[in-house]
Amino acid sequence: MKTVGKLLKMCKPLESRMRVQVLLSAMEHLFSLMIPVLAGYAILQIIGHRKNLSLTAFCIAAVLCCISLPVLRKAGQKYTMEIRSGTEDILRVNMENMADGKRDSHILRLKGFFDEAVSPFCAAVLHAIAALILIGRYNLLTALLALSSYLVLGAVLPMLAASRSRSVREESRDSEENTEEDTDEYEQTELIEGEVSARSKAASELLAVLFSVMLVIAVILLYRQGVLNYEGSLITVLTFMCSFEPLLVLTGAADILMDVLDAAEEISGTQEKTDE
Amino acid sequence: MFEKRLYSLNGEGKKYIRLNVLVQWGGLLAEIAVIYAAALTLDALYSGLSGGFLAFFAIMTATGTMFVRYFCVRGSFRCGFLSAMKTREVLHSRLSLKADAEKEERQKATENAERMEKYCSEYLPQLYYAPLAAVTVTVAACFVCWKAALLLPAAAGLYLIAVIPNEKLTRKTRDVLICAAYLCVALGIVVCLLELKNHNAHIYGCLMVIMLTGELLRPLRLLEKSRPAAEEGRKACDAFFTFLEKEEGGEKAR
Repeated sequence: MKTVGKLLKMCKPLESRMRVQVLLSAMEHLFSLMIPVLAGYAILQIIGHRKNLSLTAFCIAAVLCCISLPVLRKAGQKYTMEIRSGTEDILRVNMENMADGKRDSHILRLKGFFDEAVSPFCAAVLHAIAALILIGRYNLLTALLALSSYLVLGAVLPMLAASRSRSVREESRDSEENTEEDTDEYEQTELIEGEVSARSKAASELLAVLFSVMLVIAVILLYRQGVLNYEGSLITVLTFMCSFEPLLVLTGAADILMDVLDAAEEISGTQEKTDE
Repeated sequence: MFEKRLYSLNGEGKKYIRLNVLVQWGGLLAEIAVIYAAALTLDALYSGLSGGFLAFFAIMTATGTMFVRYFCVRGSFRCGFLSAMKTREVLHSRLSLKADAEKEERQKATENAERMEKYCSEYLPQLYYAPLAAVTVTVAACFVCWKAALLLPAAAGLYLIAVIPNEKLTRKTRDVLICAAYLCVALGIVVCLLELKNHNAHIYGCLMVIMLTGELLRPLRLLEKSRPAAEEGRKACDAFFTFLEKEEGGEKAR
């Protein structure tokens, strides 16, 4: 957290653009979630569970949400490019004492730290909060189930994956120092690192389905007991099943964050040696 | 659309690209099964079917699809890795024949080879998978609401045209095409709702179409994300093959 904080402090001139980029990213996820939810409300209106709302208004809102998605993504990409080039300029100034090759390699690893690591986390948190509000309106138990699944998929699993990936990288770095360069060894290392990442992503997908079925069963039980009405059941299941995408991306974002932290540690190590 | 010279050179790598597409498609079928189970459950809740049956059906479907998706994701990575390795072998074997070339040119050719590896392992599987996913989702949607399903391939087609590297299309045209694709998806959902209102579709059909649109757009967005790898890969291919031909031409002249 300290290292990320230092990097963000270094990039303070870009703070306003970073906030806008996170907001645009969160809005894109939110609009993406609103499409099935609005369609769910439209279904309720058609079957007579929500007579006070207009079907036309729902349809127009869903269409507007759909069209807003590419517009928001485009705007977000524009800010991402500005943040990246601004970060690169700031890093170049801060690393001017470093050798060219090393500096360029560190800049390559660090310039995407915000949009590839920090921003997805922030946007996923905002998205999860919005989904929890939608689900929590109907029943606290389902909201708690949703919260625990978001924490597992969005925090626990990415952290486990990133620390496992980091230890594999450290092991491979130690073995590279001890042995001569060997193409087969290098490929084996690449395979192991990639397998760790793939296993994490696969585990995220598996858990997403598991949590979905747990929620569906909970909804069935609550509905049969009369605790949850049909509107609550439909909106809860739709919201939950359509809310995983921003969280599943976080496993990859955590990997990138670890890479950023490694690069930042190398830089501070090099700068300490230079000071000595 | 794709680099033919590289594709024809990459004998064994093609097998892993095809396998990658097949594995991802298996994952998509599993996801469609989960969506079907969830949609049917919600429809049955409304109709008043037995809760025990619903829970059993949901558990059985989800258990099967969970493991299918797990192995599909891991399989997809493996196939991507193996196709990258096979591409690397082929390109390095070609490079080894040019040992006499200048060091700087060999260095550039090696860097181009790395970009071509990425092109084969990341872009090509997505290029084949995205249209296959669109067709599969359309077929699945046809069974529940064929009128809405007709708009889905239109959306996929517009998105593919916007995303595939093409020098003739400007950025603005691409943006308009992507907006039009999303509009087709939105209209598909609206048509489905109207069919439900006119009693031509069931609740589960409507829910399936709504959730399937996400599965339609996801591979297209991934293809869009791998577009920079595609553009760099194509430029790298041109430079790499020019380097090989130049060296061959030089040798012939000597």
